[in-house]
Amino acid sequence: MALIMPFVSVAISILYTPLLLLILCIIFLASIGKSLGVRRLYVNILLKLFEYGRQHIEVAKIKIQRSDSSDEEDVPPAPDDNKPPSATIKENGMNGTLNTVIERQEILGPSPELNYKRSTSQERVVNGHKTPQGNGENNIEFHLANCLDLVKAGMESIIEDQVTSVFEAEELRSWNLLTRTNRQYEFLTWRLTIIWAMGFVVRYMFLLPLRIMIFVIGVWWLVACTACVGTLPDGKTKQRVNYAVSVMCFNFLSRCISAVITYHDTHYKPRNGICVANHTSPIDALVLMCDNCYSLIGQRHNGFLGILQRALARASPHIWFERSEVKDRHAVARRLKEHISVPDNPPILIFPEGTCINNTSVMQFKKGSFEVGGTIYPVAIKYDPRFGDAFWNSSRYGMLHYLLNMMTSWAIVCDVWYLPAMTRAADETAVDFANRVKAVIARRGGLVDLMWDGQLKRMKPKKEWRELQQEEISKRLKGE
Amino acid sequence: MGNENSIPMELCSNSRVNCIDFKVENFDADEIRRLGKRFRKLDLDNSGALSIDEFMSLPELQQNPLVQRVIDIFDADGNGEVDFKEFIQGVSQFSVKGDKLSKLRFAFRIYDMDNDGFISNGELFQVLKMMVGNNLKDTQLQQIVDKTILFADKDEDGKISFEEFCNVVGNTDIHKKMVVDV
Repeated sequence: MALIMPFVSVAISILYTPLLLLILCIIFLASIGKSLGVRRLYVNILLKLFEYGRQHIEVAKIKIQRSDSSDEEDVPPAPDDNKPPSATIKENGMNGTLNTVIERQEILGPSPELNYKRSTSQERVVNGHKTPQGNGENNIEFHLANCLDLVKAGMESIIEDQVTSVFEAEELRSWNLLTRTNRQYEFLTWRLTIIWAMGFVVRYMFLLPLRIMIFVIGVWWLVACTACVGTLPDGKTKQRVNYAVSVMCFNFLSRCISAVITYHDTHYKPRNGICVANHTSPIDALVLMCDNCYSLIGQRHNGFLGILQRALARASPHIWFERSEVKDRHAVARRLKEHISVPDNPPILIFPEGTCINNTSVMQFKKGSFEVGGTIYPVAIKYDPRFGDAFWNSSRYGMLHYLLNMMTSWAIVCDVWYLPAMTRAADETAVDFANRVKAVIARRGGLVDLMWDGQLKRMKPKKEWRELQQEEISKRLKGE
Repeated sequence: MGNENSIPMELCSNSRVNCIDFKVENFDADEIRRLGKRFRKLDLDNSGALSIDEFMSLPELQQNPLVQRVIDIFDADGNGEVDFKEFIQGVSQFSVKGDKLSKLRFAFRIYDMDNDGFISNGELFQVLKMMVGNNLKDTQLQQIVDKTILFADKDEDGKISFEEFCNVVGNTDIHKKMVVDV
């Protein structure tokens, strides 16, 4: 240690001025909302590097295959081989395995309330039909092959199921020179290993310290700015200042993960009401806040997140709940209603999935935010997984570990699509409306539209779903 | 089948899968590798074998009424768990390269619960009960069972043999219905 310290102090004294200039430069650029295009250039260079790596890997793979399987007439694997096994089924089927077999989409909508409603109403129908059918039982048709659909569906989900796969990081088609999502590429050739090592040095020795510094300064900058804005009297001026300040601060913060965000269809950008988006990670909020001002809703936290929450709440209205209040759905709905009833309030940002999904799919939207009424502004967020996986697998990594992963990734590249505002039709239930909004987001973002409940990440599946399937089968046997 | 491959050794070394060098029809090395990965993912407690609870942790599977029968067929030695060899062999019967006879045999085993080579009246009743739950009356079910057996039972011994089963099911497009992409 004693030997290293002088070097460190010399390095700091040399690097101090340029770094300070760099930081000031970044703050300045963020505040005028401009970018020098450095990040875009960086991303383009990375893309070229990945392409080179991919070609290199393919060549290396073919060589390895030739050397150890000379007598096999193996065709070199087509690029599609890395596709998840049932991807083709998914693309063909409406919504994947069981659905296409059962041919009833809504039966897989495992929302407890929905199920409950459905099953009771169906039971009534079934009971109503039972008496007349009890006399003429001959119209129940069963064939020994009737079980095959179920068996096949079961086999498909054994090989790959949709639900648990969306809670795991997505597998990449080609290696992005990070040792995270693809394990099988750890050593192929010397050249690749050297490139990887250089990348490692750049990411950990250069980017990480810089990004941590940007992050720390960014957070203080945000706290300081919001405190200043908070002293202004409420009114139009405060809102306008807050808008500018918040976009500037978040733009600054977004540089700590080298976020390169492309916003599409900005004329649909929400101005008030409720904005709903698919949820991949806590970064989603940051990504959206870089382009617009939103009110956030969530549980009140202590510690670091608490500081941020209090800072944000000083400058503009946000909804933070006490832990005891969160369970109270009526209280949440009331606060939401209050918020959107004031037309000047910024749009409120909600992630109705309620949990982070790996950005390949959209899971069931909770109906709560769709019951409130008012206009819904859907937003689709799609990250480019090649530069770094934005998905927060919260059951595996803690918040700090996740932040570290983000800051040592190459970059976070994502597309944001603003979608036309939607309102609930007069005869539409909140659940149907939620599904309609979800379908729109899934289509725009190129995500698979799933009916499953995101809470399955932590919950055990429910018994009633099997009973629903059984009901469906007996209905088919009866020829209904 | 001409396409025989042994399990690649690397799979055996980096998992605690109880791995003997056995031959598997119908799969190439890449497919085996993928299935091995899937197996390790399903094997939550890393015991080298899948228990019923581990299968049931998949919501899609949990809601499948016949899941218990499928797992029973996978579990060839009947010890209540599916090891990697049983897993591969079970899945291989659904491979595109699998022959029609083994697919028919798998379907037959769904109904033949005690594996005695015959589908008895009681067995068919139990499987049907699994499929429809409490949505049909037992008397209705019994009528379906009797009718089905009467229709298929050519030698009139009151139960369905594999041969009789094939006569009924064999002409349906079973080879299309029982194929899963690995």
